[in-house]
Amino acid sequence: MLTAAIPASGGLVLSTPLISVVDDDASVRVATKNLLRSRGYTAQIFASAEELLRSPQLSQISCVITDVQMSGMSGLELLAEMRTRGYEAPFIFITAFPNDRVRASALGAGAIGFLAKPFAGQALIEYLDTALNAYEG
Amino acid sequence: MRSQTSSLERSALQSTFGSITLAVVTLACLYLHAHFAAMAFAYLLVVLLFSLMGSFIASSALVIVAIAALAYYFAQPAFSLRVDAPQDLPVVVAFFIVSIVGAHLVGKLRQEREAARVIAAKLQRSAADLEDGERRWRAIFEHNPAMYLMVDEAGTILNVNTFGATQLGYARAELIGQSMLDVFLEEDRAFARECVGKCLEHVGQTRTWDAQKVRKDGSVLWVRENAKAMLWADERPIVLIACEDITERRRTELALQRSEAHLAQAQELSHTGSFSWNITTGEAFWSKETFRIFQLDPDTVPPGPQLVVERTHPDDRASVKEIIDCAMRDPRDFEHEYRLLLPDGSVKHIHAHARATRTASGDIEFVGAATDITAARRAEQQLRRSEAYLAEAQHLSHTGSWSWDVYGLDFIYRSAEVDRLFGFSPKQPVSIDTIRSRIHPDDLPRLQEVQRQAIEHKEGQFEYDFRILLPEGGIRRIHSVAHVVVGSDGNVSELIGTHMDVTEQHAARERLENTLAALRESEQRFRDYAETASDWLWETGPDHQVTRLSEHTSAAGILATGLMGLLRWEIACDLEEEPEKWRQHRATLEAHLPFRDLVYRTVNRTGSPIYVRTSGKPFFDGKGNFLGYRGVSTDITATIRADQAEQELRKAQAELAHVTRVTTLGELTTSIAHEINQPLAAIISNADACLGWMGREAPDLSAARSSVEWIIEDAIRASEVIRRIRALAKKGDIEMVPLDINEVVKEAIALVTRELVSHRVMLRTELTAGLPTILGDRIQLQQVIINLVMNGIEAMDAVTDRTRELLIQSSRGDAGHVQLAVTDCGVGIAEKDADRVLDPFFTTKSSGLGMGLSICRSIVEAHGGRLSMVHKNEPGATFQFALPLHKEAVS
Repeated sequence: MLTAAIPASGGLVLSTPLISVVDDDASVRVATKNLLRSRGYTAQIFASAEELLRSPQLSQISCVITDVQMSGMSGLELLAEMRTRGYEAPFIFITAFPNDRVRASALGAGAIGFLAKPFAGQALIEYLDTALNAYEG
Repeated sequence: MRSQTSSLERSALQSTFGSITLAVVTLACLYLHAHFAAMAFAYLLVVLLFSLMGSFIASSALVIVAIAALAYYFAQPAFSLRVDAPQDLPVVVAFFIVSIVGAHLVGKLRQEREAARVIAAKLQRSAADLEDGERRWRAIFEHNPAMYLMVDEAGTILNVNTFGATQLGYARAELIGQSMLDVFLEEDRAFARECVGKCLEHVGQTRTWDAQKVRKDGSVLWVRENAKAMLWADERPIVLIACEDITERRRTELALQRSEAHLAQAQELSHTGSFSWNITTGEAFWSKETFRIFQLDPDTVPPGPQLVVERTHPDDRASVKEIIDCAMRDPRDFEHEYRLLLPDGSVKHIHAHARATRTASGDIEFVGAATDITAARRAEQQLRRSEAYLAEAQHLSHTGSWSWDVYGLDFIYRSAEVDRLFGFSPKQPVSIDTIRSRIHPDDLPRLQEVQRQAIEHKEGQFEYDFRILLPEGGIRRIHSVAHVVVGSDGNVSELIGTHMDVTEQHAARERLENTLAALRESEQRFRDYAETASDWLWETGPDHQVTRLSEHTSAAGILATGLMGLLRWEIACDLEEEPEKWRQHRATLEAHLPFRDLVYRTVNRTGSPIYVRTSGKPFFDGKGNFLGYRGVSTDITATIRADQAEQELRKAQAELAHVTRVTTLGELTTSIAHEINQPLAAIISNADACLGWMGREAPDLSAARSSVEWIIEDAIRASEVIRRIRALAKKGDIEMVPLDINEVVKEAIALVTRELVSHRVMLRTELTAGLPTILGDRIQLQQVIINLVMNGIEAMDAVTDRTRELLIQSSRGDAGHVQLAVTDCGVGIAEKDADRVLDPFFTTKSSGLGMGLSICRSIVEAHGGRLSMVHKNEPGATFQFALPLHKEAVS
């Protein structure tokens, strides 16, 4: 799967799915982007949900990986807003405060995955692949 | 001449009448045919007869004629001068000899008879003359106004003239035959004998001497005697003496000599030489003393002004020359002073005074005196110097001397220092009244009374003190010592005394008295201090054994008895418990160093354990030898007990604080987990990414490296969080260190950031930069801040209608404090709770012990600060605390 993804990104840059990463923690943000790029994905990073919403490329986003709790708009509110605006990009939540209540509301809102920090890279990639396959398929 | 002429006449007459007579005889004989021999006899008679008349020559001529006639007429052959008959020849020869000899003898006889006649005539004349002369000489001898004496070898007076005898008061007859020495003064006799003796030795030489003679009446007269010895008719020497009365001259001479000697003596004594200088002739005269002053030899150097110039000191030479030149130009009296530089290098001061006079010949002559005033000058200098010394001594010692005229009521003498003491300037004219006006009015009557009594009782010495009012203000204190001087009338005529300025001494005495008083007070003060600060004083000797103990009355009865002579470690009971303390203490004592606050345990008089705190310092004798220790001790049993209780309380508080901290950490668990999980998440992602970059067909090493670098950064971040938590959770001793309150705030915030985020609280900080440091325990202060922040977050949980904002402010508070305030905009504190909010166990929350703020208050107060709640009109609450500055930072 990893090898399958690489040709997709390496060969067709323009058609490479655009992944948006939203986290108010800079190092997590940068690390996630690094992970994605090492696997051949193209990633954009945003420090807050509001910043993402202001992005001109909202429509091209193939997947959103977002923190749940952030100052300002939370991950869940971002998901709701995106849906309200008619964007159907799949959401993967990552959080440092994992609890069942948040997990349930996230998954209930239609999230593909819910990861507790710290998470294994492989787990994210698997969720991402699932999300992309579902979104593109 | 006449005798010659008459002699010639007589010779001519002799020759003529002789020749005639011969011719007559010849004719007669021829006529008679007288015999040859008879003829010869006749001729012989003629020749002898005529030789009586004339000279021998004429007689000789007659002899020749007679022989010729004899030979011619009477000898055979007649009428020829030849004599052939041998019998005639002896007759002729005999005739010749007899006639010549006879003629000669007769001529001689005649001459002698004539000479005798002449002599007889002369003698007759001489006798007359002699008689006349003698008469005359005798008159002269007698009447010449000089004494003439004639003495023989033995000194017997052979003759004396009447004048001489009269002069001596004798008759001539009285003196003649006497010894000449009898008329000499006794003491001059030997001299006179000697003089006469010398005359006799050198006959014909005149000698002169002066001697004294005694008149018959005993009076003395001076005579000058001119004597000469001569040989008398009988070859016996006599001495002729002409004697002149020189008594008057002698007297005049003596007077002159005496006056000259006096003058010379006077010149020598007064070091005054006289001189004269005729400016016309250039002649100069210097007296002996003048030469002596100039150190010149009168026999070798001609005196004169040039000598003065030569001898004058180079510095004065010009002025001396000028004076001399001036005197030559314009002869007037002059007077000047100059110095001589003598060959031995010494200097003489000369005062010269000259008067211009006119000599008999009309020349101008300067007559003057030069006085050696060196000694005077030196004395004057010495006097001046000693006067200066005295003045200086008086000035330095502030002592003035004076003398008071009791009758004249004024000072006879007053040294300059007296005036100075009275505050007068040196040149100021000073009257008695002004002096009196400066004496303190309170002292004046007493002063006058003391003097009056001294005069009345003729006191040898008296003393008094008085004050002088100085014109510029201020008072000078004078101590006066004086004595009276009793005059010839037996009354006190004068007071002599000194004024001594004793202001300083007086002030010093006052100072000393004040110092002594202060010392006594200080001693009392220190005794008070010592008694207040301690319970007893002690002293130990060089061997550290107790030599003295003095319990203060307030603490009497504590000390056990029998402590004297013991060592401290023999008194203490905690030697075994704290051997190190005692080892150190004994080392301190051996080193003779002071020690403070040694605390040890012992027992009191009743045997109960007590704690003693003692301090001591070594003391030494003047040479620095160690004598022992002196110190104070206090029974601090009560303090020790209180300290122990307080320490336990503090320990309990610290433990409580720790518990609270750990509880808080528990509350923060979620946030803390988040804080650690974030970097962990980043680390894992970056690690995976790194693997990804490496696992590519063409491994991207640059990206892999970046990934690893991020991993390191995140790992550090994680460990930092853990460090903070560990620090907060640590149960350690309180460490008071200088702190920047802003740093403490930042560290605390780092721990609660996630909490703020999760409660959607916006944190605003207003931290004043450059605050001074405070002294505190970092962890405890962080605990306080975290506690206040957490309270704030909690208070704003219910807020939904406005931004949840938490404000942290640090600022410089008043009076050397740093202030920190935490403000929320939450529900606030109900007024009824405001007073209790900081109390223990008070809480408005459903959870928690209610210990948070109470612990915070304890911590702040332990830091010397104060925690308080500030009311505001806005919603919410503000808690603030102020902490004192770190003292070193303050200073």
